[in-house]
Amino acid sequence: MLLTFRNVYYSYDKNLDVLKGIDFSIGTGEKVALLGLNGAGKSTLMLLTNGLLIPTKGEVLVNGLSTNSKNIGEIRKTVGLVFQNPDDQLFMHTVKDDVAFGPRNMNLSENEVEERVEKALRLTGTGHLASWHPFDLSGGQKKSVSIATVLSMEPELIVMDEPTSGLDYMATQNFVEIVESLSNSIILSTHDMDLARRLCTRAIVLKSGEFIYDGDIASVPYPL
Amino acid sequence: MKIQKALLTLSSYQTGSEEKTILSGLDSRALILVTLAYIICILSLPIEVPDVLIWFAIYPIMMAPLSGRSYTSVFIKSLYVLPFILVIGIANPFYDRRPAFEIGNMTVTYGWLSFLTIVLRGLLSVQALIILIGNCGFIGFCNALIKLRVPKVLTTQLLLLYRYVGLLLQEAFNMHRALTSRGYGKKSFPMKMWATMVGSLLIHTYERSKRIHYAMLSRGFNGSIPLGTLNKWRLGDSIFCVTCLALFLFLSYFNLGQLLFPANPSL
Repeated sequence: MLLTFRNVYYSYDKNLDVLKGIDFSIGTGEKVALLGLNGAGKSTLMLLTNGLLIPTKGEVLVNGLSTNSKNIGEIRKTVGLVFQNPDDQLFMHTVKDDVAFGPRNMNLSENEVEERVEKALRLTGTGHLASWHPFDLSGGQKKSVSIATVLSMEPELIVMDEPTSGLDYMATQNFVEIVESLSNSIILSTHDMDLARRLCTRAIVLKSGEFIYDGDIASVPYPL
Repeated sequence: MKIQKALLTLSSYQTGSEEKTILSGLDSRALILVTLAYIICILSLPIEVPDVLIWFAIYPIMMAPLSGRSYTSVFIKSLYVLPFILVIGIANPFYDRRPAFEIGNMTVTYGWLSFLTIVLRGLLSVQALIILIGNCGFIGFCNALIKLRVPKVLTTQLLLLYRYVGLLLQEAFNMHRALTSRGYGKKSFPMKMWATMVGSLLIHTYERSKRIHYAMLSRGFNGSIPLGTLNKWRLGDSIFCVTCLALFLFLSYFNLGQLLFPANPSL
């Protein structure tokens, strides 16, 4: 299995478990919607997928490797995280350098880095923005570029935190087209049920840190 | 608005000038080495010879137009550090009252000469740095430092500090905009409110920098920021370095100040 959560608990302080007994697995090619109300624990779960947070109990495995081991570099090549706010994702001085940041940290040759950057920018339709400063981009452009920054790493699993929040209809459609063209496994956290149904076949629903549903997205108990 | 202007200025210094100028064709390493040599020469001069030091202004005066800027704009920017320089040197005229020479009825002491030297050293050094960063950009500057074998931990700290300053300005801009939109045109607010806002600003910036750090870690950040490759060192870069070094040594060892101040006993 690509990603496995085994009896995972997480708490930010000793008295409050944000996640309780989370158990699930995701295989190659699966597109999963992570649903839940505000404060359900979705963002925390996403930060656990690539080892940014370590479970207080249980373990998270990526391709069999535990996230609390020394294999964190491999894990972060496998799991790419797209943050909710693209201003948190974009931190280099040009779009091109931001997209190249991940591949350069993978110690690829400059030629390989160039190839991956070009491919990622092409997939997201942002090639014309390569020399732009990220601060000069519109909201929709930032979202597209933030996806490109993760695509350039060619991860097996892409985790996206509310990717369409703040986007207008056209920008959302653009995002949908990008995701539909990807063959990577995807975990998509969103409040937009239409988006979730369009892009994903499976849904996991969190409530107060616990799973209340894991199955076909068409049968999600809605409202949550 | 001042914060927006500061953000734009910071942004413009990130990658340096986009214009094609004489200096933009040079390797950033050459510019760094020349600037370093310049600052070392300035600091090596005796403290009581501002008449020798003033000739070192030739470098920024010449380099500014070669880098597509006016010397006036570089000089004005360098004045931002003047208050700090004045604080450093202001005690000298009070402690060192030995007479150096007289102008009419006025006695100029060595204390004032050393004060003037400190001011000149500060301004000239900052002007050289403005020209350097304006040409290579802060990123190019840090990349060149790495290639010059400066420990990566130092350059990473510089880059992260630069990024943090940008974040701080952005958050300040956001807060200011929120304040003015709900301030009903009021221009002054109680001190207590400003203190709270400064605290909030620091917290916002810290929280945001934490999220950015997560984004960096997610993409393999391992303590050093990869900045790509530099161009190869060329003959022109060597010629530039040698020419500038020769000029600085000439100005250091051949006292052109005597042409301006022939009566100065220190000479």
